[in-house]
Amino acid sequence: MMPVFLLVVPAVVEVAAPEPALAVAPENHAEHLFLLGRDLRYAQRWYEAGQAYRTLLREFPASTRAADARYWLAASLEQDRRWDEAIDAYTEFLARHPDQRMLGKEARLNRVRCWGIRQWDNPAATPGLVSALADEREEVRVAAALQLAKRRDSRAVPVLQAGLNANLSSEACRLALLALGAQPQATGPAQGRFLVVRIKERDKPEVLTVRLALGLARAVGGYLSDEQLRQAKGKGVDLNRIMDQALNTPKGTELFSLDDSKSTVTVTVE
Amino acid sequence: MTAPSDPQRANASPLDEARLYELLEQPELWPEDPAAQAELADLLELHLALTCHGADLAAELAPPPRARWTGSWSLAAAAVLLVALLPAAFTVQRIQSIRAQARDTARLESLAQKRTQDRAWIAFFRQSTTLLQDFEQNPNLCRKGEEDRRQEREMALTLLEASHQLAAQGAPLQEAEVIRASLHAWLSEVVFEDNCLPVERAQALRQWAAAHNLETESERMERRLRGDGA
Repeated sequence: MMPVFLLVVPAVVEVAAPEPALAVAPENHAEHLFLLGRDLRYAQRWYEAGQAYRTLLREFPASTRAADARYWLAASLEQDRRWDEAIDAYTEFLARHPDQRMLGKEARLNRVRCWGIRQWDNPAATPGLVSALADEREEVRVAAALQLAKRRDSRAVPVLQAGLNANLSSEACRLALLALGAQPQATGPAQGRFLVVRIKERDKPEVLTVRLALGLARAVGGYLSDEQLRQAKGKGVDLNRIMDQALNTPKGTELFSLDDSKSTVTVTVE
Repeated sequence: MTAPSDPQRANASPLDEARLYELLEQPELWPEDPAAQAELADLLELHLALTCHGADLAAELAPPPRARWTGSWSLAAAAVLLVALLPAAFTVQRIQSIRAQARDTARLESLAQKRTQDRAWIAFFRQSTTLLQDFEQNPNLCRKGEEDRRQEREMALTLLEASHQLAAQGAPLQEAEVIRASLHAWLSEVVFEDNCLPVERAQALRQWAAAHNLETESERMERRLRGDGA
């Protein structure tokens, strides 16, 4: 159910100066505008929400809500698909409020997304993404690299290679590197060891062999069907820990073999 | 025509055969004797006939060439087959086999990549559905009028990170990206709320989710991707 006061939103948002009834105390008025913006966001009325935040920032630039208002203004513009305005708004937020940790991270990631969408049309977007490759936060660097990879921009490769070691992003980085035609090269204790995935399809005479660096062990799951994944689970095979298991296993050991109606997949350590 | 071996001719004419053939070339030297002239005429006729058909006769009368299998074209063909064609055929077959394997491997790689991508999206939609369902449940209260949404907020934070990555990675379907963006906006709101959420704010977030069928859409997209990518 929509709050009743949303029905009078345009009148409130479009005022050039605070009305006497609202001007009882600046901070109260600023809070009122902030809450109004939030309710408008909840109602997905992004443009009007943006207007509420603009009004707040114009009328009460020193408000304690200014940082939040700047962030939500940018977020409302992004939701309204006004990408270039959103990029500028996020940039302004980051410049004015460098101390905002959580909102700052979110703003950087959202700005990367906007740049990613605009990288084919806005000449400033690709340089923006390239600058984000040097961001202090790994997730921002990886997000920027993934966006650049969509345009097959090889400047993304070093960040993607580094991202192979990150838990959350390793698979995304691996796929992006393959799409770029680069060989994923995971570093770490698993170097020099490989997982060999042998796939025998029922209707094919040959056994197909895929070698995976142990650091990319998570990729094994992709070669398994849903049925084989269920089997693995039933046999106690933990695909998330397969690298650790392979590290502590002699070379030549068969880790598992799984069947379904179409194929048999065998994984060994080499 | 008189046969050359006719004894009468041999007796009647002193001309030996060499002299006769010599005279054939020089008619002006032929003797006056009509019998000799007749013999020479016969001989000339025979000579002319032989000159005319000699080549054909020679070919027909010549002994057939000796059939030497070592010299026949079939041996050469067999040799070519053995020396060149068989290895070439083997190589072609081997190349075709390698190509077929490369094609199959590329197909499996492509399938593995699609599965990996789809499963990341499926997991996102499944976990989002769970979070939305949890948000519908009555939670513990921090104090009167405030719901304890600490767990849901942590889950929303994890999903928000996943959402950023999926957005950067790219969606398998355009519709999946639209629903992800919708969920992302809702997750952001939950993340930037406090752990202890006023009841009316929690209610507003539930209304938001309900108004945009977030749970239904998320479930539907999970099913669709599972069907496509299984």
